[in-house]
Amino acid sequence: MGASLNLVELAKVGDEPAFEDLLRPLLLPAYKLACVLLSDSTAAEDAVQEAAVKCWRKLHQLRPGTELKPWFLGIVANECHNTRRSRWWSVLKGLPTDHSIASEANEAERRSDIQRALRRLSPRSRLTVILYYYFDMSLDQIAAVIHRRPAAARSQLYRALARLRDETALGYLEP
Amino acid sequence: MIPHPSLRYEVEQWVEESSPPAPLLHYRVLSAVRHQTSSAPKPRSAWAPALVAWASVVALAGVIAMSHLLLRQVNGSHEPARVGGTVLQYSSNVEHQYAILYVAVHSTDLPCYTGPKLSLLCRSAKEVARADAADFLDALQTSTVPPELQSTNAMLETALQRLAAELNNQLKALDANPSSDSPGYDTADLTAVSAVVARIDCWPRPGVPSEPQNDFASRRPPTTRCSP
Repeated sequence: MGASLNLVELAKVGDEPAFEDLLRPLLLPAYKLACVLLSDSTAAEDAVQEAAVKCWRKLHQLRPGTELKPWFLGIVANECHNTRRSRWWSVLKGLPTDHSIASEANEAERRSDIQRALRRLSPRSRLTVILYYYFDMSLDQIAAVIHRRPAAARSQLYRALARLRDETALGYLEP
Repeated sequence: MIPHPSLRYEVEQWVEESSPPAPLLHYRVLSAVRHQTSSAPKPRSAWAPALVAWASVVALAGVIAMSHLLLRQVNGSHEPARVGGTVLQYSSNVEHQYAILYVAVHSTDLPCYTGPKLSLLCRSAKEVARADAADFLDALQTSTVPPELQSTNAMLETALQRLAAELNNQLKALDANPSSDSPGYDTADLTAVSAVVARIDCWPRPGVPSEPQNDFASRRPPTTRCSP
């Protein structure tokens, strides 16, 4: 932790190798998050690259004591959000190819009900569920990623789980 | 919150299935960061954004103040130009006609002041002045009057009609008794006309006519003074 703090301080003053050391272990989680949020590995790589550059540019805004991982994943999630909002994205995603239609049909058969329900979640709910169940983040860390209060992050997670429960008729969340 | 083991497993499966291997990801991303480092300045320190924000606020305030001063300057020095060419055409026409009338009226001073000796010359000069006043009136009635000077134009017409009537009365008095020191030898009063013309010259500021000049050698209309 102390070494990581030193690296952050070095990176803040422009030490590029220190920044690379900080960023390297975060790239794969960021890529996986982007893949789930965008459902497109190429777009996910683009989003992670853009997020890394923004992280380097805005590193001075990182407050002392703030963890780098939630902060960086927050930038990645925001970048994915911007990608989804872009006009080109909506145009490209609105043109399904024969190959994509066939592969999606096969995939749909193979997937479980739970996975189908997960894919139908809203992007924000999807993000919260992944951060909690895949990245094992606390509600405080999730709140830092989605730029909300911990209570709001908790509500978001509850709503996502309630929807999953309704759609799959399984009790994932004990009342 | 109780994470269900089955849900955790499903989420892990979902994430792994959605993200195919990306062997060049590290290389690609770190190259982009290095390229950014070489082409852009290094990250700023923590106080830099605050400094930039303050500098921007100060610069913005300066720009607003300068714009305000410039606008005041422009509006103050070019107010008549705002109304377009009509006001300028109208006022230059008035000035021209006024100059002719001024010379004609003051040309009656010398022959009429001397009394009956130069009664013919006096009468002739007054007829010229009356004709010039009538021409001035015709010019006003045929010209396009800017809306903002309509009331001033009406005042000028009234003043000219009174001047013409006064000249007419003086001519009648001369005709009635050319050998006496009758009111027909008085100089026509141009003060009312001068005052209205001064308002037009100085529009939109109030105009103050200069003092009447009893200088016979001077045959130029008085210069008007405009209030600041």
